[in-house]
Amino acid sequence: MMRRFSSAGCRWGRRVFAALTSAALAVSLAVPSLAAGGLEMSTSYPGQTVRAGDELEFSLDFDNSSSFGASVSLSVVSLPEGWSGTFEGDGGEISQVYVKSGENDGAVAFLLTVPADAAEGVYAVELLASGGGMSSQLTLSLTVDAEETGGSALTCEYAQQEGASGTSFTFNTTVQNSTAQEQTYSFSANAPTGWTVSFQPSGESTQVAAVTVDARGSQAMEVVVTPPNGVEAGEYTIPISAISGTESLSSELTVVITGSYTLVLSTPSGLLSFDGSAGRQSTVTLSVTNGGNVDLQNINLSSSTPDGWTVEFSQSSIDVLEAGATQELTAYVTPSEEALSGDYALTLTASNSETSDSTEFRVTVKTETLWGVVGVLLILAAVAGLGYVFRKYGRR
Amino acid sequence: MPRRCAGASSAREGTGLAALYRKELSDHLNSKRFLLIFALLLVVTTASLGGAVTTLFGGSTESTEFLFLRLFTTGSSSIYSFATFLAFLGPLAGITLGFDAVNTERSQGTLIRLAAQPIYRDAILNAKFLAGATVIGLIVAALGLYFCGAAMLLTGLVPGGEEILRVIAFLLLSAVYICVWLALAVIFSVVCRHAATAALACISIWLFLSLFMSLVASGIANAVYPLSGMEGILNMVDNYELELAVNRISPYYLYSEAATTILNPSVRSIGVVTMSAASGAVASSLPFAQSLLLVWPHLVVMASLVLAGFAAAYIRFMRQEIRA
Repeated sequence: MMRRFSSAGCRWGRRVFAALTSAALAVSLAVPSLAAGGLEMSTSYPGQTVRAGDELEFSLDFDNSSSFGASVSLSVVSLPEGWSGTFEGDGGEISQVYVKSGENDGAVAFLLTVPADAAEGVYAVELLASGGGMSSQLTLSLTVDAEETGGSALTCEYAQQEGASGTSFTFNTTVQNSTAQEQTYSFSANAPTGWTVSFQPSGESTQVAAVTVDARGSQAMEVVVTPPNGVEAGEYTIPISAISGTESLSSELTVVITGSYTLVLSTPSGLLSFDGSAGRQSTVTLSVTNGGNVDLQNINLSSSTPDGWTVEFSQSSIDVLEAGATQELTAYVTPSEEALSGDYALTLTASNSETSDSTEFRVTVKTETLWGVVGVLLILAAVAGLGYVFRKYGRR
Repeated sequence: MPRRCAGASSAREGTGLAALYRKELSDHLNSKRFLLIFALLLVVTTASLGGAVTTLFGGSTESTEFLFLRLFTTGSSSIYSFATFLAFLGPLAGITLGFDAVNTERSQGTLIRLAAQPIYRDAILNAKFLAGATVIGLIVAALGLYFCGAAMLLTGLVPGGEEILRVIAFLLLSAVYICVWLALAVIFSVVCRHAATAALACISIWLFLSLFMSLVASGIANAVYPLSGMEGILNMVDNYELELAVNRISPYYLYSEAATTILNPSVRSIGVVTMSAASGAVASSLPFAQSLLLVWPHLVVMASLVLAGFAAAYIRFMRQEIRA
């Protein structure tokens, strides 16, 4: 801090000195040049507001009001410390220009480089052209302004994006470091619970927590926002920030989740087959899941069965199923009395006005082992009968 | 199984059953009659295997599922399948082994001498029946193993676990089926004084039940539920069900139905399949236990027939005067 104050003081002193000398020169030179009908060096916009680190190009015009041309030497009379300036013509550095009689527009370009660490303030640059007994002086007044440079920023190309739940959103953002020092920005996001926000440099897949940006430089970043599964429809604002030692940049990303309607009919175990026997009721536990992000109303359960089969549900409709919620219910399936042994296909459907899901179940109809036992009993009865015959008639 | 049980009980009780059983068995196995019927069945088995292989591997086969089992039920245009042959000619083996069991002993006068030995009288009949059943078991097992072995050699097919179970069940079923005819033959050998009468009676019943029962069944069904005219359409199901019921009186039909179900896992019903029962059915093969449950009644009926037939012969034999 002390150093900054002292350097500001130095500059202040230098500026006062420069202003005084330029005033003195203007007084001393303006009069003879007008009298001699001589040279005038000018530029369209001698006063400009610039940013630290800028490279400026001034197009210099020469007006030779005398009746003869002359070679004119060009020089920089005063320049703030750290600044640099050169004269160029046709792309090459020059020290003299031949000024013909009359107007010579844009004959020379003056290139001025503003140092990156230029502090705010007003600077004067004085140029002198002299030759052929004529001379002209031009003062450029340059204002270095931090406001004008825009400062450091975290900007986003499309800060508002829309999509269905289950998609991830990529925001192309730029971290602009407008300070004179290299800065390391660490990122953070204040996302709702369940959301994930990751930062990665553009074109790379590495996820980073912080990024170093050169002085006066910028870094393109991709911010990937992933909403949780089954996120409700609506607008979500995610503030993101990049914080360095001296700066705190922030921006807001907006994600609009559109509504999606998904209904999933399955069983808790995922097993879509079960056993049954002809004319006997078997129970199946079903699970109805709202896989979308909008509450579903009035879900009806229906079935498409082989002839003669009946399917009943423990509840024939579900009034409200919240987004992401699962409700279990029981289906009572009774195969037809005439059902054959083996596999049958059975389709159960859960539907409401927005969406529906059908699931095909495979029912294996089995003959009950009871009849096998009855058969064994009959054979045992026959054996017992034979035993009775043996006892009654045998062993005589 | 029956052999060992009988042997064990006879050894304990000393009824002479074991000795008689061994004698009867060796008599059967040494007889030309046994060799003849066994040779006949062997030739027929070979022929049916050849026919099945030609049919299944000659043209395009639509499915390779349970190909080994299909060898048992597939015939060719000129020859029946193994299962059909066993259903038709198996009874002949049963009849051959039993029709002269008692009456030949009686007419040759050996029965009195036998009864004079210190043995229980029922041991004679028990031994004859058990020896016959044993020989039937041997025949069926030999034919089955021969068929499987030859099929594996000819086709290179190796039966899977389920197929082996089904083949074993089929062979057991066949043995029980042939024992039904043995029991019938033993009844006639007790009832008829002459072996020829018994043989003729058995053969006529065999031919009637095997060949003509289906004609009789359809005749009865058509008489009760006529198929002509408008009412014919309404009667169709009743007609078919009655015909099926009458047909099932015949062990031949019972056996054919059961063998088809056991050997073909895609058979899902043995009765009338209505359109509504078939709706929504997914083509699939039944597991072995389910197929077995389907034909369980058939097996129970045939086993009961064996027991009942033997009991009838037993009662009749024990009541007979044998000294005359």
